[in-house]
Amino acid sequence: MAVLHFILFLSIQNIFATEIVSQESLQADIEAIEKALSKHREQNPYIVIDTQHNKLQIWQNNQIVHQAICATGSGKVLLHPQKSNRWQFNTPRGLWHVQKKVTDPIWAKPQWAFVENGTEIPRLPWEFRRLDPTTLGAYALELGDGYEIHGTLYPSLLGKNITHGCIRLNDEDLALTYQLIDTGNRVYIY
Amino acid sequence: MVFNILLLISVFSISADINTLRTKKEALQLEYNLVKNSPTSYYLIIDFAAKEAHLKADANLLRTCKIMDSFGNIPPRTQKLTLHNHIQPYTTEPKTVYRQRELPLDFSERLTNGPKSRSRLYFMPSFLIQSAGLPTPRDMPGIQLSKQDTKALASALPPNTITIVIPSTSKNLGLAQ
Repeated sequence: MAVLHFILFLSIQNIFATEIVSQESLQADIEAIEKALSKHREQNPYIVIDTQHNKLQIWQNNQIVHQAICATGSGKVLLHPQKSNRWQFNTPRGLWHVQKKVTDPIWAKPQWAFVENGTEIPRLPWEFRRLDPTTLGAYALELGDGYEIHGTLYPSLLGKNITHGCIRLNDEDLALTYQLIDTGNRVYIY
Repeated sequence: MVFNILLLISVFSISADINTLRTKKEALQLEYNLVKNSPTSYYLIIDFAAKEAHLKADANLLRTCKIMDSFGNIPPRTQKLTLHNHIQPYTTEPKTVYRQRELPLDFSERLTNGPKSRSRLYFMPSFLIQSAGLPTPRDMPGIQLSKQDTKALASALPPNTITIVIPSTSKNLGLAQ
């Protein structure tokens, strides 16, 4: 009987040892994959924009650092009355990067701004009538293709899909975003 | 004898831990391959152990959605799904015809035309993400999220997006960290 127990003990011990080894090996594999994944993870703060609920979040190390209500693209379509030009005011989805940070930005109005107001479109791109130093607020973060994160003259409209594609913030949130985010930081829009 | 029994209990305990680790390794490996091959794409991790779904891109967390309920037979292994299509609020669905009359509702009581208040996301192999409160299909596994989360995911995830499903048999894997 004692011999039988001893044989049983040896068998179980053998299984135990095998399991321990495979547990350690799995643990080592997991650590290696986690390390490889962490190399991909963004170390700098990044912006996440939810266009469906008009929320902007600043994340760092998978934690929300700051949260703000913003306004994003209306999705509306504007047609040029004479020409066949057509503009759709969507905030584009996907990964963007902050291309440039600007203080006291001056908005060089594009064609659609004049079409929308029913005024004559200036012929030259540098004409004085195109320049608007007040609309964008104190700061702007340029994302490329004419899209920016900037201020607003109408804070009561934040939280709504009313813009021409840019992301609008109130003065305090814009100042904090400008301070926390650097050129090259990522902006995820969905 | 007692010693043998204790040893046997330890073996079973280690086996359970090994299963948890194996699931974690599979899920991490899938995520790593995904990140390596398409670093700019959004993807979703549905973690039944943590009862959360995580929207991510390049291993960065973008949104955490609480799983409010699940239905159907969820496979007990780590799975890779592909988003097939959305039913978004303005999707026109095929009309239901009953005795040669077109009905404004389908058999799940959804409007077949006009705006719908909720979205659904269909995956292959068969899996569904939908807003809480909707009738659940009989033969399809899936989860219910809040209306806000479903709407946000429908906006974030284009067709062919990869989703990783981690079963609840394992312990909390902490993949969101």
